[in-house]
Amino acid sequence: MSTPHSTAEVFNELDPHGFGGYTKHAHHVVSGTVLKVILGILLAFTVVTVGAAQFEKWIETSLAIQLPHWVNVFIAMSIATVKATLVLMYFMLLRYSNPINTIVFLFCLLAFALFLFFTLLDLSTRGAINPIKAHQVEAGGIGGITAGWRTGPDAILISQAPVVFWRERKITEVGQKRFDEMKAILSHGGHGSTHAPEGSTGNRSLNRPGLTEGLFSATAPAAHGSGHDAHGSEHGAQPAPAHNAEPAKH
Amino acid sequence: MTTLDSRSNPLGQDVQGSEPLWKRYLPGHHWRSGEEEFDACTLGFWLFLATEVLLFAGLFCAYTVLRYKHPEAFANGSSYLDWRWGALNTVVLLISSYTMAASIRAFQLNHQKQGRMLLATTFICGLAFLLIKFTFEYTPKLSGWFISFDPALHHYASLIDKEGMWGLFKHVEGYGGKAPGQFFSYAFSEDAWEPLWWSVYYCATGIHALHVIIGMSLIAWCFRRARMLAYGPSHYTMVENTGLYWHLVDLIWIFLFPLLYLIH
Amino acid sequence: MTTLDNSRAHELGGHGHHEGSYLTPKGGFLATVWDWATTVDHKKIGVMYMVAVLFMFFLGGLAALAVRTELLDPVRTVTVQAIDPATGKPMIDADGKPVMKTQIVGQTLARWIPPRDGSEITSIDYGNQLYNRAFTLHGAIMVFMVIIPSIPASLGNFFIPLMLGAKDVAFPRLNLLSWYIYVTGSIFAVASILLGGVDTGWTFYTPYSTTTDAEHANVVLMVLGAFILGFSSILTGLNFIVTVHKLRAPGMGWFDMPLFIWAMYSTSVIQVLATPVIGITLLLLCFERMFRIGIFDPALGGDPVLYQHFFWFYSHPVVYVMILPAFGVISEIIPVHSHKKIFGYRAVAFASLGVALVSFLVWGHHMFASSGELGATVFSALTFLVAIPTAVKVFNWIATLYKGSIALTTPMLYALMFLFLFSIGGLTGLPLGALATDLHLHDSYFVVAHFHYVMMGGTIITFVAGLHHWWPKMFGKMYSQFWANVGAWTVFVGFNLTFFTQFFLGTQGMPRRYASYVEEYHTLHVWSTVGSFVLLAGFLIHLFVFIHSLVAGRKAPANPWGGLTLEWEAASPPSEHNFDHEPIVTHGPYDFETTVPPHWNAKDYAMTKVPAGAHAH
Repeated sequence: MSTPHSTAEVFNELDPHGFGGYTKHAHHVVSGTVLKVILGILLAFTVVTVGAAQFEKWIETSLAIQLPHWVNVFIAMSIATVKATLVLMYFMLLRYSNPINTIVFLFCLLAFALFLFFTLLDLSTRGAINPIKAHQVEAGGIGGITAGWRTGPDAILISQAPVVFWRERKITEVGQKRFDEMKAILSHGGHGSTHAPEGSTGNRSLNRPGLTEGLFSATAPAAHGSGHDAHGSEHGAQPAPAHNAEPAKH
Repeated sequence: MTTLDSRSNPLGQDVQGSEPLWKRYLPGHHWRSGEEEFDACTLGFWLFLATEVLLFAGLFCAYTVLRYKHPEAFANGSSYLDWRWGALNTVVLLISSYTMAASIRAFQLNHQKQGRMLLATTFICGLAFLLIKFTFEYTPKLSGWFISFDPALHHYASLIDKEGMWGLFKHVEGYGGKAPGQFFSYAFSEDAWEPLWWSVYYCATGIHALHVIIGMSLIAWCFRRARMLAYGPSHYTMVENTGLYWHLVDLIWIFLFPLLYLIH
Repeated sequence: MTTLDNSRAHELGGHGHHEGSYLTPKGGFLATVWDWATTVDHKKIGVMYMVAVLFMFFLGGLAALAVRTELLDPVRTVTVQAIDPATGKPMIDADGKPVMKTQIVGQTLARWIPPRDGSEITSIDYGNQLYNRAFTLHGAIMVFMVIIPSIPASLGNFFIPLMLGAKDVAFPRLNLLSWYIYVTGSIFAVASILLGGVDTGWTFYTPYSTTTDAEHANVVLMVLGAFILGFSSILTGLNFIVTVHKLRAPGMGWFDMPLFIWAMYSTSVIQVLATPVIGITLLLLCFERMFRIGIFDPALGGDPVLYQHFFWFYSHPVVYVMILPAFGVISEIIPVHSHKKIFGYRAVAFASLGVALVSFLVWGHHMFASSGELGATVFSALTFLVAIPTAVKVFNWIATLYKGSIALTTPMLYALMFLFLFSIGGLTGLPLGALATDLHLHDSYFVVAHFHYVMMGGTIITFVAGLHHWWPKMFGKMYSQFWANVGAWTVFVGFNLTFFTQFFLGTQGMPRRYASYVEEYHTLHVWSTVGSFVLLAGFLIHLFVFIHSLVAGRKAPANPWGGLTLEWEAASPPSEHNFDHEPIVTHGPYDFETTVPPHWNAKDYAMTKVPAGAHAH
């Protein structure tokens, strides 16, 4: 513990907590030019991140090169991190304010990193079954779920994936031919991008060792011959049984 | 002026006069100086921002785990989003962040009118963000109803089956139903887990939109107080903290935009 | 330690003038109520928290007694001769043979709370579901509404500014807001109970929490209650961090702070960093339940284990939100009541921060049975790190006692009990952290006993110790040491009877959360239930001691135990603004060898000795 010392040594009326120079930074006025330049850089990086994503897509569709999954995430997150750092330093004034604020934010990011790291560490290795326990893994599947409101007269209990249920229902409603026409318009549509680009297998599913056998067979998309769900059949899936659906009331 | 402090200083009545409000401000009775109060409020607000970041951390973590489990569902789901709306919203939010920072600068320099104008611009940008989100993104995806001047509409012209509100809205058959979880009813999905993608999309953007609304309310409050000349070079804590909050909203969107719109 | 005007302060405290005490009523009854309801005074808010927490402790305690009463007797289905309702005699059929019927015996809750529609109970399910509700109620109330806010929000609110020599916490209005948020969250939880209760367990694991009770809103209400309580916790923690940073008295450096402040600071860091995650978790859980979004639902591609990660990322650190303040209280009580400088001040201070850091690395040990093998192994290894800072603390407290001038006051008695109980709780945590033994003990009564030794033997016991330590300061009244000690011993006996038996039950295989059990466990369950009622008797004794103290207690001196921290420099009870003048710190909080305590008055301190070499300032 500190040795007793005289009052005069300790107490400075103007700076009672001994914060020294920090408080004078509290009212730093950032130059207007700096703010404008930062905005310009941020807008430029927005263009870069969109461009990078388009470029990756162009590589995949035109050159038929399947980029690894992490490339997209890595590039996008790197640019976003640079943008975020600029916002933090200049718009949120971390560069000029009391360092304790930066420390608070860094500890928050540390907690975030720990959260993400350990959760992923567990969930991404859960499929790796120790060989000695392999025989304990049992087959599973989906339980009965509802499509739409769970209760009430409109409740529809289904025992298949909702995606399959609604597809079957639409085909019953409009017929296969019309369904395919609609699908062609809707999935290569005005929303800026296309599905299942030509030349790409489109299958990015990870190899998940120890995956419960049969877990996906009930829910994988049915191969109804339109050719758009080539990846669906790569799961080795069979068309889901449509007769399980119990449309209660229409 | 801040919502975080106590301003029960009995001296408050003694210094009334023709001075503007910000010059008459006195720190709470337990503070030794206004500087210390400002510093403490900023630290307190940064701690609050840390909690906000960790709130979104849950969403980002769920996103990561579920995308790891179902990469194709996420790639397919993302392709229903139009990156152009996302990029436009990013630009809108970045500009609003700039105007917010500039408005703080204006109050620091006692440029009252400029400060108010910039606050108003920030508010309008927030409003534009929400309008784009709800009109061009949420509504068509959930219900299939497009607003009639939506540029995407010409592509679906052959599927328009209904009009509403005197032609202001047009309905595209089969487009809607991209709803989260069990409310999903879109018939043309290509991956079994697409409902999950929509769950993540609506949770993340919905909670973000809620923060935009909260931020806009704070800005509106600041604007009202600024008209009473409550902020000036020696006292602008509330604008400063509102600005921090607004930048955080921007910060979250900087990450949400590529994660939701630019994956394939 | 001195104030700028020591003589005036001495007069205020030493002779019991209470003009300007924060407890002095402002006008009539309604005016006083309004004054308390709108106060921004940290002391009043601390007292309001104390009252609210004790009320919730009473509710949670009732649920605990319901659980123990149900377990007094195993549930059996027996065949008995039917009774004719008309004659009241045993029924006989036409052949003269007795008419037999099956009957459920041993279900206490089902007898107390019959079905709402008045129908006869024909299945054990009804009683079992009541039991599920009772233990969920007990767990949720005790964790979210009692233990988490107990020491931080009540004693912390009251004493952090006093110990720092400040007039108030950094954001007084925010402080009041967090009390109201706490009350709102508690009302949600109580409403959920009144509507029929929740049977998910306090952890709200999916799919229990998304599929059970489909027709009721109870789960959503309870989850929203916990969500709202989280905000209260965050705001309190945020407030304390800023207070510690910005409002220390002149001359008080970081290492001149009392160890209670260090512990509360570490607690607040955890509250701020961990609580938001439970916020988003519970929000997603509400969405999941109301809209079935599927994030935690494997049928829609989600992952129920993801929920467990989310939940324990908060709820493991929060275990240290519960225990760290207790460490802080013990670090105050032991030096003061043994009148000796704390051994290893910096080690204890850094151990608090160490616990806070480690708390974020070990949450997976709650999920050994559900997580993957690599995750479980890593988390098991990291879990043992917890033992280091906690053991540092325990050893330092024991070293502080060594050659101290120990006064067996009620707070000290409780502190010693804490050392004993917490050591048992801590050491039984080690076999649970070890992967191999945990898979045997997982979800058994061993776990139940372990966390009750830590949570109740650690936190609740220390909360009571802290109340006895600071009661004279908070209310300006002394209490009967004799009866308080009787209460303490009763609690100690009752506690060990209740929970030590459960270690045996657990190792023998009794699973937790079961309403019934096989005959072999009967004896130990009976002892455990008897113990829980002894515990009740002990707490009732304390309640009467406190009420008697408020009504007829002798006036407390300003510094009844001879403490050196700044709160003992204020009057008992403190004035509105805590101190007449801003105190200036000139010595450490535990320099008993060199300092005479403030307001020194020999007749008040019959139980403590001051070393001959010490000098008054």
